Amino acid sequence: MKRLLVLVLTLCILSLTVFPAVAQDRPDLLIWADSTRAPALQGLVEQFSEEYGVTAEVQEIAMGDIRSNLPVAGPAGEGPDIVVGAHDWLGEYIQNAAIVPVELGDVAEQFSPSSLGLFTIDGVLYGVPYAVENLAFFRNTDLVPEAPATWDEVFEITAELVDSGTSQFGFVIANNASYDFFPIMTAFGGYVFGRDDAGNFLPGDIGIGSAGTIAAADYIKQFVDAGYLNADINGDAQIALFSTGDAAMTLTGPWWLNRLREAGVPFAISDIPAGPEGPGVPFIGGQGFMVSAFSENQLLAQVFLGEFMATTDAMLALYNVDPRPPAFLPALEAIEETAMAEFQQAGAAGVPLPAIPEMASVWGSWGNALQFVVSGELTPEESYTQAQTQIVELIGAMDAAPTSVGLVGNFQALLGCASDWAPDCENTFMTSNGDDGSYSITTAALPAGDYEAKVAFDGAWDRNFGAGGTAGGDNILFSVPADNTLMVFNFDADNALSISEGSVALVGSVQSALGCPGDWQPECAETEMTPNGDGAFTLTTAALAAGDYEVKVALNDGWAINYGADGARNGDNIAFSVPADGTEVVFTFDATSNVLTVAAGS
Amino acid sequence: MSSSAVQSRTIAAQIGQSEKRPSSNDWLLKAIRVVFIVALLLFALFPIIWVISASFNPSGSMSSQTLIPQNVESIGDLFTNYNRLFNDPQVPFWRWVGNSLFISGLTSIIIVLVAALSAYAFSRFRFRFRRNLLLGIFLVQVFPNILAMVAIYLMVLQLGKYVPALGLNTYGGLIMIYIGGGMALNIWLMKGFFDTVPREIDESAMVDGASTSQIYWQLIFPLVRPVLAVVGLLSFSGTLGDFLLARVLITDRENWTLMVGLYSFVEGRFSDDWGVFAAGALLAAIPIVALYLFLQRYIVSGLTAGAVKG
Amino acid sequence: MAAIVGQAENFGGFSAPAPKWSIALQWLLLLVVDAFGIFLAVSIGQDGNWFFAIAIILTLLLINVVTLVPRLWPLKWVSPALALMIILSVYPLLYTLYIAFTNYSDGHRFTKVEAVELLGERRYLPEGGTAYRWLVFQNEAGDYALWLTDDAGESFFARPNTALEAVTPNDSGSAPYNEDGVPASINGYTLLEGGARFRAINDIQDLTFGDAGNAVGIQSPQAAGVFEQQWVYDSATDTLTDRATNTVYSANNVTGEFVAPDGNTAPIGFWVTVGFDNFARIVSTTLSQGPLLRVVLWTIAFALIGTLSSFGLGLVSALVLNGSSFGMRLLRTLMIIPYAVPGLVSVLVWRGMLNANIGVIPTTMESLFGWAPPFSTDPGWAKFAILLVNLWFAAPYFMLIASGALQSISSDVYEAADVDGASRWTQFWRITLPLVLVSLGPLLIASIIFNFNNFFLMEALFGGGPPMAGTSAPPVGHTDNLISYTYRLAFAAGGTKDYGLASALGVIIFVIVGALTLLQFRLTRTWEQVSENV
Repeated sequence: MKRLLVLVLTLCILSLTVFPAVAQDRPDLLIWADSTRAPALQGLVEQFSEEYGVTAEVQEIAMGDIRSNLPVAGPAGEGPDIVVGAHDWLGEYIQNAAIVPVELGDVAEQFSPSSLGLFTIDGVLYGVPYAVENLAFFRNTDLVPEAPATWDEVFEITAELVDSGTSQFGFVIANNASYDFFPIMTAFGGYVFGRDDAGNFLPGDIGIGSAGTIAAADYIKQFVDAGYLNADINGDAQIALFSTGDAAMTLTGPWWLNRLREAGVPFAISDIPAGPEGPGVPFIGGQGFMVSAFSENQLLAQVFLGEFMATTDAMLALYNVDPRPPAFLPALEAIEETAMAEFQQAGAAGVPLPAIPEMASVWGSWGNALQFVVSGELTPEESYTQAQTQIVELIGAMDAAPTSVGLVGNFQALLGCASDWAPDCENTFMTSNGDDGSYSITTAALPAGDYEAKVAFDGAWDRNFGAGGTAGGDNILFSVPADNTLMVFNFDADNALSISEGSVALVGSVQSALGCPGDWQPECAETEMTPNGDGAFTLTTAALAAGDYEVKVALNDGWAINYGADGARNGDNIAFSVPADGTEVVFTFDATSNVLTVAAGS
Repeated sequence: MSSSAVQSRTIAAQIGQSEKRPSSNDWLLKAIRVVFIVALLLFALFPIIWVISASFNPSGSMSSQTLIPQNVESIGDLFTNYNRLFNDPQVPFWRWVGNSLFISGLTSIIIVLVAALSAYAFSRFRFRFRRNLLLGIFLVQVFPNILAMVAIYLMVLQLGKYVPALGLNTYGGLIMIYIGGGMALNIWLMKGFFDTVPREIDESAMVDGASTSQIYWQLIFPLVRPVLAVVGLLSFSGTLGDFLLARVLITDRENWTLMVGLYSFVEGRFSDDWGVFAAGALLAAIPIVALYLFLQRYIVSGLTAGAVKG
Repeated sequence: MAAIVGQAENFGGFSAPAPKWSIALQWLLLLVVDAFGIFLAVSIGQDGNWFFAIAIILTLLLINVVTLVPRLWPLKWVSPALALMIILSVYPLLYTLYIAFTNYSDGHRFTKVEAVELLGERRYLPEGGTAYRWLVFQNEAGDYALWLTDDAGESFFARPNTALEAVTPNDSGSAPYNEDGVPASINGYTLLEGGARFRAINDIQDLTFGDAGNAVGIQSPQAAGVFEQQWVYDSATDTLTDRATNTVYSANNVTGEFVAPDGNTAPIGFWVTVGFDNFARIVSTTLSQGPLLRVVLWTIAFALIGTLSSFGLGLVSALVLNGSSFGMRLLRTLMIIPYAVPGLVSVLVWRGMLNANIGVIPTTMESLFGWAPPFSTDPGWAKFAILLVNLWFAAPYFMLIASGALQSISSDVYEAADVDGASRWTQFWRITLPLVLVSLGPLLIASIIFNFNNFFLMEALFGGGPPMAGTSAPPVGHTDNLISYTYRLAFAAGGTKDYGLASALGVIIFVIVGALTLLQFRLTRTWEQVSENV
């Protein structure tokens, strides 16, 4: 025992002294970068330390760990001052208060505006970009001498090459590479998130199940059906096939350049081909520097980025290890590599890769959807509708119940709203039907005609639902057959909006006297009220015996929508008396004010 | 009984050394055995051959790899990857190897020593809650570790504030986590072995007046060398191959373990240096195989020799 | 059994009395350990991590009790392992258990105090305030001063605790002037440039310049001015005020947010305990979904088949490759290589070899038989491939262990069997297997559990794919097991990383696996007794 104790103790003490000194002084600036960027930064940082006498150090940390560990290490006082990362981390970082805004001052003019845009959220710049990247169309110039201008041409060329046995594959795309599929999607009118006028992404408007996306998947399906693509082409196979000349065309980014040149395959880069909805656009991603909110030396970090990194020399040093089109314009001009300009051209109209946290919910289902199409397990429509549903569910799960459920459409102005399509108009907020999560609203104020409607939560467009309960789905069309028809809008728990003409029934203690099997039965047809054409409904009877009665009005044969005293939804019963047997009683329901009036004897 | 006789009497020896017990289907058994061994080797080594080929393949991509390296214009090309490992100033390969050997070595020594103590106690002593304790330590390790990553990271961060040698980016912190993670299973593994050592050995020594520690160190410890070797080897290779924990806990390139260093060659889209990775991985396997070669005599012929002597 | 217990207790009685120096050393060690442990626990407790502090105190207690109570001497042997396990396994477990009852997730990663503190660091320029561009000067005594220029072109010279001094570009101070007319030196202060300026920045970032009524601080490289704290917390009303917009956010201690009257929330939320909410969410959403059953079945199937197949192959290999000849030694060493090569490499190699378009196995089969199994696209074949790769990985491990275990079987047993005329086949089933199971039984259970939680193989080989069609969110694959499904659900697919949910799922898995383990032990209770009689 003793011997062991002594041994273990000695070992411990020994190891503590042998371990590399950790208590080394923390440098003034600590930078976290991944294995690609760290070596280049290492050199720059050494140069900086020497030149300015400020200690700086680079720690090489895997990309994913930089992203996830900053909010953990930072608060514990062990985090970096600066991280190098992608612009689509911003949403998550801001949510966790992990980074602070940066100010570039006059230097900002030397950055490409689109790159600054990537790092700007709500008008505030959160990072210093150094590179932008996007996909472009690659072709093997031996097999495809001229760049195809449309996706249809791509298919034709593929068919020709494969059928003639010239090459094993024509155009290839990896089985679940949604990032690569996006440029095709956009050419056919698909999208991921809708955007508002300011260009912000709307997490409620998801286009994975949109007609355009499905059309793009149908396009891919042609390849599969003809045997030009199969389900087992993954990213590895994609590059292998293209670099050996077994595949003639593909979509990829600057990260392939070195390997393709090494492989010696003749290739050229061109713009994304066009589809029925115009040219396809790729995602644009940005790489840049962000300043940690937990850093003690934020000012120094900002000065370092603004005055040392934002120089042509530093940016070129980064470019040399990580050849992606620089965001710093003087550096871009200094580069002789023509491919960079070609990439820039292909991405000129690109869409920023959404930096909202909701994007993380999209990748998995979106990627699987392509795989289902390529494997033939599901039709494009089934596949992408399913993905849409999954994504909506995931994103929905992140948010609380809606604060308001508004009916929106091109009829709102007619109902007293300031404008049409106004999600914040309280006049058209729907009312909960009770515990089942459904909401409804009625109106009898619309003139005859065709209309379009949707439902929007929280008085905003972020979460809106259209046809089939699809988040961000298409508008729902409906017609009002005649002026002042009572229309009932019901929004159920599955987010589906149903619109129907309303029927109005008088319910109450009068019903059994009027031929119904019992009282208080909204489904009884005998007490259905008759529309009189101006938005009112009436029922006249002389069959009541003298006495006191209570009534309400119920819509669409059920209790979900019912009105009582003063037109209040779920209001009190309306009491009235019949003075003598056989007195004529007239019940009038005004579908605009929802008030039921009872006139007994005239 | 002489120890050499014992050594040769294993069940496998019976199957193999059929001349001792000739039988009619002797030939058939032998043939089956040979076929089995060949199939086994093919299964075990085919992927390895693939790794070896990749390590000599100058093109960095796994996907374009062929069994016989292509684009080889000179002998030098074959060693492109190894050259990169050994001579690239950005790749402190030997430093990483040193780090790894140190970390894995120290980890496995401590695990063997500490776990053997506990295993002995659990095997030999009878005390209250012994069973519960045994079950308890087993249950603790049932917890899916991947979900406790944040807790572990935070713990190392916080510990490092007060005990710098156990903090982030230290060998101490990493070794500590490795030891904690491997303890329970190894105690159980060892206890199973200790149980098979006849009690008569302890008892007779006790009658001779030996203390518990004496019995443990002088009698039992040498007897259980096979399991010590197995546990040591398992801990060593387990920690040598780990990169999930090491990657998170060691942040300086200089202090990386070999696996973290190698992982940086395939991490990310840009650094697909598959060949370098394969070369490094092969080299990483050498210490483990060497250790196995060294420990093999303990593992395969250590225990019985002494066990029955008493 | 009773006899054995009696014997064991006698062990203590026989130990020789420890020498005095050894006892003194023991006390000294204990004292040092206690002092250090208490210091650590208190410091860490003050940092707010009470769980860790408690774990340390528990460990200390254990060490002290075991050392000081003579009756507990057997525990002395166990205490080093126990101490390590309490800190390194039990603490993370308890911590995770605790997190399971909180809403700790992206957006809720700080305590309320931390969130208020973080927001409190944000500064804003009040209406009517002036933002200056700044340049820094230093005199020989080491004091700093700023040259400030506002948008209107007015310039000031600012020293700490002194009212701002109006200055004129190209006139005040002494030449040379830069392009903005700022002098190289003024009032004994010299303009700092280059490295001197960089080195000064950490000193000046917290200083204020100007007198009390007009204390100019540096906000950013571009701006200095009288910036004020933007977010002010009032503990009396439990509200947070954004002074820039004068919006009052009241704390919602149930959801962990600061909420304004218009429903907007403050930029940072905080984490709060939410009771069984996470568990309720799992029950109401996840558990009610169809794929879960399939995931559970595959998890169990993989754990059992994967472990037993590799154990079987390992045991048979150990038997077949037993012997001390050079050939056998070489063969055994070759067999160990798959285990020695780092797992990540092997998975990547297998993934490449199984790919239908470029992998060597499918392409070879294709050319030989005209057909190849669709490993990565067909659910059944994908599962087969995973089991195959697992077999490759784990069989050498079991061979290693089994060959050790085989050594412990006394040859007498076989000789007796030989005398009885038992066939080798019978000997294997009646002697070898039961005895090997004695020492390897718990290890097998541990392996089954390990495979139950095997995240690495599922994730690395096919990423859980091929995907399962017709499921609701989150997307799930045919080869996802419980743990990779959990990971996807809580971290990858949900948009935000939800540690609370992940921990709750972890706890549920822990309970399930724990129960299974206990059950297995109950079923195999005989093992230990058998071994004790050997």
